[in-house]
Amino acid sequence: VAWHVARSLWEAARIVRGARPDVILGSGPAALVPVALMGKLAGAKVVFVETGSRISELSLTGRLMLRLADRFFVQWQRLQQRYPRTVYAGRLL
Amino acid sequence: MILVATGTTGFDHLARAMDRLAPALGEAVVIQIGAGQYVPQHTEYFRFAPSLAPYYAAAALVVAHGGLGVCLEALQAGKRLIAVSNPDRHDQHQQDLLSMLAADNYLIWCRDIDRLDQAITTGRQIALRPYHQPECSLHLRLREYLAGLDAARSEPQGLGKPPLWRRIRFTRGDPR
Repeated sequence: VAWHVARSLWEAARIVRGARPDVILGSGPAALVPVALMGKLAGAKVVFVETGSRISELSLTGRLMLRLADRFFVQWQRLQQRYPRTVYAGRLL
Repeated sequence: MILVATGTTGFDHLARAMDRLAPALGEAVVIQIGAGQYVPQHTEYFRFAPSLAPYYAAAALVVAHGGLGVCLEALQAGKRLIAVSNPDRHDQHQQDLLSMLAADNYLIWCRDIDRLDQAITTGRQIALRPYHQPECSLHLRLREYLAGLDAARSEPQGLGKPPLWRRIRFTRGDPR
């Protein structure tokens, strides 16, 4: 697992260095986390949209991204109330 | 027609249960089985479709797994919905969704697949609350946020100094 994390962080750093993003926008999958982390270190803003299938608790990706994201959208009001830092703006589906 | 939707990964329990009940239902049943192993014997079935919209349109009743997409699509199509949470999934988020939607009386939540026939009988009769999609302003809020970033950048202080990491490790050529 440690090897995987190191490897994905390295890959993410390469991607971020290649793309030089100003903003990273991501949703759902955990593959976002290393890219967001590296992007953050490189000065990008990170915006995260939690998956709509989460209603009363954040996903694992969501919990990690809560520390990283500059703006965090959730798709249910109930979830927003539980995590006041997040923003509710309706649902995509 | 009764549409049964088991999601892309499939939900053999549900496909099997509906296949067994189908002959007694007095109505055509079509099962979307996804990547499931079980192949229905008594009903029409298909694995995937680009959109389930034509199936919803033809259906009087939808029986589905607890996936967000299928459930909200069926409700928005104004269909009576019976949802069965898939216990094979790695977490319990389907139960979470279904318990909330069932508490608000938008759908029938079948918690015990052995009693699916009763759920269908109930689902055919009971009055359910119509579901209205809340307005989504996510795109506007995103645009607002990005515009805010642009404005901050054009001010003299900008977004502040670029972080140390950017200056030593990630910057090639002249920094913006």
